[in-house]
Amino acid sequence: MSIDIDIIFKIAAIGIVVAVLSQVLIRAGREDQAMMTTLAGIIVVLMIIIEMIDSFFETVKTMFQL
Amino acid sequence: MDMFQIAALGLTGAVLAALLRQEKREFAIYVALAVVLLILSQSLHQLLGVFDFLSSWQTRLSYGRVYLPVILKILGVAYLADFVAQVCKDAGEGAIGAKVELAGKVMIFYLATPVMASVLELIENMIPG
Repeated sequence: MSIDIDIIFKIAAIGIVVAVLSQVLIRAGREDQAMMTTLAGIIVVLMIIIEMIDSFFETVKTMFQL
Repeated sequence: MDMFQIAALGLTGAVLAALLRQEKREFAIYVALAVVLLILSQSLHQLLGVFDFLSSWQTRLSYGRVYLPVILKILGVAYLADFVAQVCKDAGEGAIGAKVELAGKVMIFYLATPVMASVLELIENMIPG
């Protein structure tokens, strides 16, 4: 697992950026692009989380001989 | 990773999740999930020492030697079921969490049946007649 505290700040930063961007885009009248940025943010965060889940499941599998 | 780091991790996760909950509800769930994963994987590494100790004792056990892997499996299933159930409940999906917990219990019961069978057999042999 990479430096752990750093991942959480990364995810939180992506969340904040996406929130701000979508607000700005909604104010500018481009709702569809706001939706796009939100989706992009979610996909990036999901990639990180899926990689973490995968390594967690791998450790559980090896440790508990499941 | 000692307890202070885990405490700090948990607190920052809670604060960040609360921060994100206003604008984007789903990001709070992702942050919470990431923090839970990190804390769990750190605490798993602590368990390695315990398992080494248990397996070193396993050679001396005469009766329960076969069942140490079963205990480890049950521990793993319980660990996972609890983790997923709590995260689902946290995300607002109480039903899914409850069902994962139920599945965990069923799995543990399934894993425990051979142990019960051998214990019952042992008792049966002890009772004469």
